[in-house]
Amino acid sequence: MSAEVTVTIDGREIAVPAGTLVIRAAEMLDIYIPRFCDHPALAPHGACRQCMVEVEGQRKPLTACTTPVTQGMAVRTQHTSEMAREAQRGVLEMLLINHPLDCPVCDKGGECPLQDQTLAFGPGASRFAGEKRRYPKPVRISPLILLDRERCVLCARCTRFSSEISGDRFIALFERGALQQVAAYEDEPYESPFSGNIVQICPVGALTAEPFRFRARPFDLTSTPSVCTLCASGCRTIVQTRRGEVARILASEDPEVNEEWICDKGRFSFPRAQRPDRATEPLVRKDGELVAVSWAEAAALVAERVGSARERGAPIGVLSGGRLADEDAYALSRFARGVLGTADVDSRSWTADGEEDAVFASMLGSPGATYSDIEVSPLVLLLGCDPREESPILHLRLRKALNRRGSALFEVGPRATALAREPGARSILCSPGTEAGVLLSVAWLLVNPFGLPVDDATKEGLSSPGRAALRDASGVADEPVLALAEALRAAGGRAVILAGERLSRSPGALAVAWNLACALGARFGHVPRRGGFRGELWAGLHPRLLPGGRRVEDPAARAEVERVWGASLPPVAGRCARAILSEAGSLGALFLVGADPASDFAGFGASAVEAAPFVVAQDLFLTESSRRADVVLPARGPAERAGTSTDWEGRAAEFEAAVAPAGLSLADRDILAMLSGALGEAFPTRTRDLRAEMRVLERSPQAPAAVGAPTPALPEPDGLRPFSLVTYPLLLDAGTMLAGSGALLEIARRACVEMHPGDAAALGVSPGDPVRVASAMGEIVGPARLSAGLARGSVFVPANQEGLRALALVDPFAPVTAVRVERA
Amino acid sequence: MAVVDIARSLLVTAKHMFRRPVTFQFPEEKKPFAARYHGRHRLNRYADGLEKCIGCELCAWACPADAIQVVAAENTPAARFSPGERYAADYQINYLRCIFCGLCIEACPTRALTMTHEFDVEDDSREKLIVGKDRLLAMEKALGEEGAG
Ligand code: SF4
Ligand code: SF4
Ligand code: SF4
Ligand code: SF4
Ligand code: FES
Repeated sequence: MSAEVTVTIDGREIAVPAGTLVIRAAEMLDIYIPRFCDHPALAPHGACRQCMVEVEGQRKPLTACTTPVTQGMAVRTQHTSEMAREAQRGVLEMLLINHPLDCPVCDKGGECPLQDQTLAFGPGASRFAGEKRRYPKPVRISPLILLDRERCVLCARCTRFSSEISGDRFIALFERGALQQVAAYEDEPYESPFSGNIVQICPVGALTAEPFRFRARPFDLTSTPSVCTLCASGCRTIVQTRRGEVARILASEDPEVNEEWICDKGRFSFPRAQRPDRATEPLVRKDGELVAVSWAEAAALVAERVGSARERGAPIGVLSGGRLADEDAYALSRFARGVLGTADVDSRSWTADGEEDAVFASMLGSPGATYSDIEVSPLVLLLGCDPREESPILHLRLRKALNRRGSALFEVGPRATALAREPGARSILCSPGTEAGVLLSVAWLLVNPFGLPVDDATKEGLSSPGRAALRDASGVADEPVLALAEALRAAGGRAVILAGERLSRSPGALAVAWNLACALGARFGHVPRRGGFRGELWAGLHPRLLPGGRRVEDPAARAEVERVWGASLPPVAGRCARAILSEAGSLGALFLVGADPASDFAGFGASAVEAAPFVVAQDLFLTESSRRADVVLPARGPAERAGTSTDWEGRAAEFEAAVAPAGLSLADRDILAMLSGALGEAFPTRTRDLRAEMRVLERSPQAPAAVGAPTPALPEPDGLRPFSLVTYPLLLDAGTMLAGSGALLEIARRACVEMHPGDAAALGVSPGDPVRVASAMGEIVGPARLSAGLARGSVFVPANQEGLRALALVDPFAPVTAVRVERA
Repeated sequence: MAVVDIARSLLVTAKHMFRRPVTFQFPEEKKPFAARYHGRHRLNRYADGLEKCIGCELCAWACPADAIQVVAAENTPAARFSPGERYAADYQINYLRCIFCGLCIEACPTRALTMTHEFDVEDDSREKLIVGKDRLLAMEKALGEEGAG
């Protein structure tokens, strides 16, 4: 494809790579050829015939969107050719024959390519005088999407998006000729989390979105470029507001990140800002009730209680929850360590061993995997992450790599992800918590028979007896492990290893994966579930890390931070969230900044928040945790403040505020500056000062370094087995940020208890039967669903689905929760 | 010379003394306007009582003074305001801004919006001069499309 050819378009010459489509070559010359079906991200289709151009030597006009350029080709567009002009006018007249022309009630009116192109290139009047084709208006093809078949120009952009990009069996073209129409599959449940994209790319108003229907005209809207922070994908968006309220969110284009897609969660979950449970003024508990007070009173109370805690020497805990902007995260780290003088800081909801912080420290200081790496990599190893549910745009990118680039994908874990259905994907199902064993076996194969050079400590670690035992417990056969090792050896440094936050549930696994990446020279990416996590990790909201991935134990690193902050730091590592919460009663104060332990840790978290003598919650909403707090400080929501967000790749993007803040809320960093003031401590009050400090603390990139030999823990036998609980939140769940999102929640997956058909048969369970799942923490009952994409002996229940919350079962201290499963 | 000029002008005055006066006793007495006079707006209805306005905002779009605000919503079988899918849930004209140019009624695709001959738009507060659907909507069914537009 690298050969160049020269073409002439409207008399202007341009050299382009061979195979370029005429329409793209024209764009390079800033010549616009009208089009409907053509879309740069979709395969050429040639459905609408709008892009007709004259090519010298051809008797008839050709479609510019399907014709590749050839050497010496001379193209004449509507600007210079009467033939092209005539053809385009004819096509537009034809399209309008059956078009209802109800622009005044059409959501697309004002931003409609059909309107625009008719005006620019179409005939002034129609010669058609008959009855137009009529269909009942609109068909609801999902709770979110409505289809008006009268307006459809049959360009097949939506159906091609469905089959090429998202891979959902959602809509397709049925019938032929004048009756051809788009329709939803009737027998398939509607489950696409990407449906909003087809509304955005439909070139007419045939597809409209329920949350935006009739709410505004394009000229009413003020657009602010923004970044979605609901997950770590880092999607670029455009937030459109009308009269100070968010009316619509659109995908913005960034070829390096989200290309031009976003998921439905990011697109449709905005009404949350106007919810009744929004915290709009500072609240303080008086006589058991939260009452509104002034900021000054709230800050003074916090300062007083923190002061007395310090006098008593009582520890102070600070938790965040992966929802902060980078500046806010940094301010919190600086406040917690520099002002409060505590080391008990954490943003994770999992406990991990000592190697995790070494991995994070090295990862934050070295270049990691990117979306583009994934696209060109021959092999991706996916661990502890279900991208479709946890980072949807990463799912799309992996799908693209598999389908368009012919990459291979291996995933290791207890539950197969949606990617397992794609060509070139292979799932290695292992019991939960034994991922470390499988990975160690892969590493052993790579090092011993295949001779991958590693240091002695690693080599020794690989020979530990734990590996074999863990490997046995995983239930994985030899063949897939060998296949994975061979694939990794073949891909070498071009492989990409992606580890989700759930990999940390198998002790040691993250470190093995990291060391593997280091030994192979492969790119490594850590994919957290929440959008603010990476920024919080960088900021040092981790008991063993300081800003920039510096380790607490390193005196030189500590000194660098102390110099910038002008404060002395506790030289010891802090406690993790679970440890802080389990001793909440002895805390002097507990700060929850965008953290909701009462939801994330269910009953354990709720009783910890109750037990803590003084709880300060900085949050958008009155959540399960903040309604139990002693002081609630209202923070600004995602569209209400400016800041920076860092996605899983470590790529930072700035965003601006799009709407005015709710009530008296303040940005987290401003609240922290105010509290520091009340405590009589100096603190940067301007965002730009915080950013300047962050720049100073940025470390220069280093090569990723392997960490010490990991210590995998053996799964403990216990009475409740043989079932292990696999659980994680789905994209659309009963989470805080989604409440009040209306139609979006209707497409949330119905909760069920997923089990392997073999296990179900042994228990006498058929699909749909009520199944009871009980752990030491509680029990739930839900309908059974059978899936071969689950390891034997595992049962999957989504963490937080309406009516079925597996979070209530999770044992906060065990890496894997053992459960009893039976027919209810 | 001067005498002649004075006599001539007195003649003009004298002539007017015998003509019918052009002034009349407003507001007791009202006079018809030219058919295309642009007075206060009205939102019309169909014969069956449904509103003609479909909430399309084209009037607001056309308005050079940004005097109109329309917020549309969807008709439901239980609450139907206009034929078709869409109606104006909120419709306001700000008469402190309106310059009575009539571009809005020109833009209206359903002739829902027309202008009456009522010209005495005055009041004592800003709020009262921002007129909502309650005061713009024709109360009688099928009140036609009289006046300009
Ligand atoms: S619904 Fe829209 S995107 Fe789909 S075929 Fe019709 S016009 Fe094209
Ligand atoms: S994929 Fe993640 S970042 Fe992108 S729109 Fe969805 S929730 Fe937001
Ligand atoms: S008459 Fe003119 S200024 Fe008044 S509302 Fe209509 S368009 Fe606007
Ligand atoms: S008055 Fe006419 S132009 Fe204005 S919103 Fe109603 S239908 Fe549209
Ligand atoms: S844009 Fe070329 S055929 Fe549709």
